Amino acid sequence: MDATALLESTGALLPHLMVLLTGLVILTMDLFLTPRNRYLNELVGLAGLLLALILTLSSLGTPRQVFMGMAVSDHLSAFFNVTFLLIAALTILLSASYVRRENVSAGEYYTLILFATTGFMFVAAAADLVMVFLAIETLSIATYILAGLLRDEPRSQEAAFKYFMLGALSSAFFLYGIATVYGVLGNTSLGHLAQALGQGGMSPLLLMGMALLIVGLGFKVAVVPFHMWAPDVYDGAPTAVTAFMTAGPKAAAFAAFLRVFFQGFATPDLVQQWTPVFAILAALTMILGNFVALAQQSLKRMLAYSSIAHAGYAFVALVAHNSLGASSLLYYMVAYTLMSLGAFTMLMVVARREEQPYAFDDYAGLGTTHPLLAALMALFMFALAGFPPTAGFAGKFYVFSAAVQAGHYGLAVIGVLTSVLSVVYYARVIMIMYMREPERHQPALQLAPTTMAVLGITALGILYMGIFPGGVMQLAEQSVALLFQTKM
Amino acid sequence: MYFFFFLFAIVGVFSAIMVITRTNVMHAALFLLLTFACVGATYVLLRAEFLAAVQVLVYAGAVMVLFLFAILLVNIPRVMQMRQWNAQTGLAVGVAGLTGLWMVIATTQTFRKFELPAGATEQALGTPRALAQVLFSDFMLPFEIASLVLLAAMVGAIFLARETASEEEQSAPDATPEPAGRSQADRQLV
Repeated sequence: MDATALLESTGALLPHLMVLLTGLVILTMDLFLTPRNRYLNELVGLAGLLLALILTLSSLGTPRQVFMGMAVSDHLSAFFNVTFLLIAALTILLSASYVRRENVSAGEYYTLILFATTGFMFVAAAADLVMVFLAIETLSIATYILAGLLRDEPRSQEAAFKYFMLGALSSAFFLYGIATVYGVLGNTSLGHLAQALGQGGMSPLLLMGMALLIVGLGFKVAVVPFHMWAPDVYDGAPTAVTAFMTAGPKAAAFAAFLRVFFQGFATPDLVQQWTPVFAILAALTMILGNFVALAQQSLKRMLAYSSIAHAGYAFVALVAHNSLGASSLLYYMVAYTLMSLGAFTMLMVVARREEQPYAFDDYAGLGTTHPLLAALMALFMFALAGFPPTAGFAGKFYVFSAAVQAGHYGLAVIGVLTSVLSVVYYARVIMIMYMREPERHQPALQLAPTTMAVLGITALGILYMGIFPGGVMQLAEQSVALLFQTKM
Repeated sequence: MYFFFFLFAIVGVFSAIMVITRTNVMHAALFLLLTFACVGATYVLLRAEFLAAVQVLVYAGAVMVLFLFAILLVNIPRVMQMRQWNAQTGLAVGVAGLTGLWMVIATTQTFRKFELPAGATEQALGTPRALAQVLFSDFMLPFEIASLVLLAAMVGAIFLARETASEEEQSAPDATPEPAGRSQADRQLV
């Protein structure tokens, strides 16, 4: 690789480097900040993300492979970049009051958020299994630490430890899968993989490698039966981090699924092998996630199971394996990001202190004491349940139409039925807010401007994407067009 | 050649099993050392001299020293009385055994039909020169990202091991006692 190729390659990955650089700047800058100008952390973080967004949009062009075919810069990676930057920006905003309240050292916190975001972005740009692995490791290590942020809180420690142990195990599965694929084909490049498979390179060992890769990535997405860690980790981690974890790593793992299975293992006979596996995983995830969510007494745990259920809906889009499926997956990721971050922000606002158990009773009478907050919470719940005119409805509509289009009627039926079931537990929150009297006197909540910004952006985003779903969907369609061109 | 491969493979797997079954952590650590040595020897057989050297220097050397330091802080007699297995041990062994069997079958099935590319084992892929060339051309980006992984882990390790702000306050003699948590929380923005 000569100097011009190196410069060109670096140029294509400028958004990634920008986020990384912002993380390093915050890490260094935090040493010199006094408590009075701590707000600079958030300011620099947001400015860096904005710059990265501008760089992403300006680097849009013809898709190209960079760094000797290790990474790609195309519309798909750009779409995911924008999603990840949105997640990171919203997380920084919603954490601004949180880090002060819980006395978390802000410098490391934002640095790790940005490192994880760099990892997400590299996953979406990966063109080689080794890259996918390293990028997932980057984001995993950052999120393990974030989960254990509250060091005086045993539940947070338990969450971090559990996440780390099971995450390391899943990484081992993924790595073994890569080694197996390399053993069969002598190469780890996804492009090479597709080419070799086109010439009929299927073998039992390759199928085993594929199965190991499914297990490894399935852990990260938390699909049943690889979901065991998710409820405890989402429940025990600090709420701001849980919001980040349900949105970011999940979307990144779906990006990895798209890259590995839609670009790598994409020959028709292999697709036939993995589609039934994915269909079973999707069905189990939707059923178990929703049924167990019904029984939860803590709102945070309920949202954790709801997050598992939503991964199941998104998985249906993978099973469909058509253009509508892939684009509806992208749409669903953006929609779920907004819904989840909004709902968890409300959880933080109402629970105030991390020690509280997030009981449903906290919400009793919220409709009379804080009508606006209650209305927003109701909006997030309706969106998660999939009512029109919210993004949740449009997302589910696209996903299930993709399944029907591909002939997976059973999955679509399971999806619709479990969505109906989910209304029960989402509506419970709304009923408690509006139908019950507050149990004790609640002091008025004073929202920080940053928290208000998060609630405003997520609520408007959900409504916009629900009422005018065409805009985002069109972008998603353009982003996935390439996946289906190269395959045929 | 085959004899040595099977020697190191069998000893390596045996000592790996011993690592997880010993109740005395010190014994487990010493068996781990043996495992590392066997893996290093296997690398030599595969003509990956550089990897073999790194394996011995980094794993058998540096990592083991850190492990032993950590073990010095452990109360070994008490750890030996802790339960090492839980109710799902049988199930786990069964699943692992079936998976292993499946791997053996898949591998033998595959390589009966497929030939390794000609000369694949003759190329000196593992020499420092060959490795460096690949690492700084094809795998340059993964190489750099690996450093990001390490940086994130380092930041996290320092973050987790450092004294917290509240601990510092407690150790400071003139620390003012915190006002009652609830009233302070009420005044704070959420």
